[in-house]
Amino acid sequence: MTSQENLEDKLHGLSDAIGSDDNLVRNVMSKIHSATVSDDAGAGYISRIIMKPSSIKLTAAATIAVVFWIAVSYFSGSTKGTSKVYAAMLEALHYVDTVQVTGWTTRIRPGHTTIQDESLDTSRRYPIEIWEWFTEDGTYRLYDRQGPVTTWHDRDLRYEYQADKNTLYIDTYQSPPRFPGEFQSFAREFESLITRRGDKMILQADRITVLTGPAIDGRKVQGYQIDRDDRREEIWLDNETGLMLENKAYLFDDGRWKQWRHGVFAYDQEIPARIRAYVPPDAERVEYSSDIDPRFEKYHSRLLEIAGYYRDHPLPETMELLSRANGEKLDTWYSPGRLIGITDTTGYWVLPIQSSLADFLRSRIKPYGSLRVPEELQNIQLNVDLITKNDHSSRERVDFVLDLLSLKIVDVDEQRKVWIAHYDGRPLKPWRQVKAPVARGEARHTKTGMDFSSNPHTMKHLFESFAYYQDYDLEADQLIIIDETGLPSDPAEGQPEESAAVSSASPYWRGNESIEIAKKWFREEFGVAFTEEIRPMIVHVVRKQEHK
Amino acid sequence: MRTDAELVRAVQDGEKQAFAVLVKRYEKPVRTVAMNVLGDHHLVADVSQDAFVKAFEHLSGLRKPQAFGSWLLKITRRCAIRSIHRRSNETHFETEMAGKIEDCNGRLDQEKQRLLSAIVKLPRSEKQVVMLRYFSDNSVSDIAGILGRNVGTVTKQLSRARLRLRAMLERSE
Repeated sequence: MTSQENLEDKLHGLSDAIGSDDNLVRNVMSKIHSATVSDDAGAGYISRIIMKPSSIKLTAAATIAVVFWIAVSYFSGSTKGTSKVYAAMLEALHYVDTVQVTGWTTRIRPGHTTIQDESLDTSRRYPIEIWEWFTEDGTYRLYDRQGPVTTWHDRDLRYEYQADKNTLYIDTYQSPPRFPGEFQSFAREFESLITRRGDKMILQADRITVLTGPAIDGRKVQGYQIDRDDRREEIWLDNETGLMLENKAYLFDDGRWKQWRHGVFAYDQEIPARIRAYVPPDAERVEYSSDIDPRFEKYHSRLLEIAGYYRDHPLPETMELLSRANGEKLDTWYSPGRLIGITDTTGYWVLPIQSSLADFLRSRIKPYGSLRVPEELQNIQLNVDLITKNDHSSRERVDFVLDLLSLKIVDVDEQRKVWIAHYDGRPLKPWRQVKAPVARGEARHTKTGMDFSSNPHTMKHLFESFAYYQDYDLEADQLIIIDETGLPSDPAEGQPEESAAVSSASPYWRGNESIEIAKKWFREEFGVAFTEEIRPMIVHVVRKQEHK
Repeated sequence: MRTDAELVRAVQDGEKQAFAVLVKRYEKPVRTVAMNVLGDHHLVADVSQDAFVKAFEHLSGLRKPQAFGSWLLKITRRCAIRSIHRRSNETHFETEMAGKIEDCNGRLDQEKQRLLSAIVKLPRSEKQVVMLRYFSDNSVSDIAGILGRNVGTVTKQLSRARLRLRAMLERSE
């Protein structure tokens, strides 16, 4: 038998194995004739999908033909006309392979930001180029360049290159779109108008206006203007396919609508080779999410080891301390260590403790300045993993660890020096403008009076920072600050972190000279003065348990 | 024999029965694509039916009637993937297990699965002629008529497809 015959035999064999369905034609035609599909396949799809209120008729000549109001319009389950149109648009997306968006935006929204980042100039129009598609094997891909920010999704990894900072961020991507209806190009356009309730997407609009306009690229179109609060989206859909061809986004600002984005959509375009073969550039700085950061490889192994341990052992009733067999200190990240298959179902996670006892306790007992740890106990080295839950308070964790070390905290009353902080009520400067009294310059080490960080700090945080460093040796013989300024210690509910901030610098200063520098800084920058008193205060003293 | 494009235009003009011809013509290619994604006979029938109905619903949006075949297969693939997502909580489609499971449970044996995987990787035009030739039992001249191509073109495409398939099968062995 020749190889050709052999292959043809195999092909026929495969055909036989795939089989056929004698009822297919009948079933399909029956469905086509049934009520679920109207008999106008030749007419525009939208015309069959949209269900306008009977009182509303489009006037072809009018630019704005019809205005109707809805309070809440459901994407699923509602018969409201516009929802049906949007649903039809998402449905139509199932039959495309690629989406390309070009246009401009004045608002760049990087995925990775810090509070210190200066906002990009919103008076500029930044060019947009977005490609989204699925590969032959169904893998999602995204190339998204908006001004200086380029995002690239490659299987499970997401890269974001910020050219202005020459920084590449790499993280894992847990829930990539499963089908084109979930493409970001669309989700992003409507995210400000959509509320998610479980699996349901709900479009909340104050007003939806049906628009008509000239053809786009030879395609007849139908437009919709969706208003909600100070936001407006104008979308233009292809009359036949239901696909979005163009959109414009506006914000109501300074008494008028200002356009901040324009997108032109194209489908099933040939993806340029430069896009397919895109490789994120070598950046000066590369930052990984903790779960893939090469520095934490050993800690990941340790977490897997712990998760494996709890597959064979019961989880603790409260907390449990697991020591490391080789006593190795591991690079870890700040957030809790997640245990695969355990954390999500039980709430237990891992707090690595690999420091001296003093370092473990220093930030956990408040008010700062009230903890005393005898010198002979301070250098006990801990290299363990605490299995704990969010239900457990910081103090409970401290007590648990101390108990295992046969230690405890005893509260004693002592006469202590306290600073009572008062505020003179002057208007405060914007927090970014408040700097430390001593310029850092090229200094590598922070000295008294210098900036320690440039994050937003509340007044409470400034007091804590200062007291923390004053009593860094945990002797409980320095000052304790009592805040009577009345300034907010936390942002109001729903407000951003910086809303309660008063400074970008924090006084992590030590030494005698820091006292006068701090007093002067608080007085001049914030109108905060201190009166000194001796008051009875509780001091938390770490002691050995006598019975153990 | 009417070409795909002629049939599509007929449906768009209201001749629904013309769609039945397209269903008969593409039944096997659609089942093949669905089978490749799903890996299970039992699920193929529903997805095939769904794909044809979806294609009918969206026929007005088909800008190139002559591309009906590849467009339909694309829809089929999407329908099959969506079907998997709907069932993902209850079923895992372990195609790599196919070789260990005999045909009787609705899955292809390993060799057939390999061949199927190779077919769906063919370039669009070659994939279509292979399916119409070997799965729908059309002659070369029939395929030329269906696709509105020259007989010579179809012959070349078939020949190239076979070469490609052999190479892919050798690599996968």
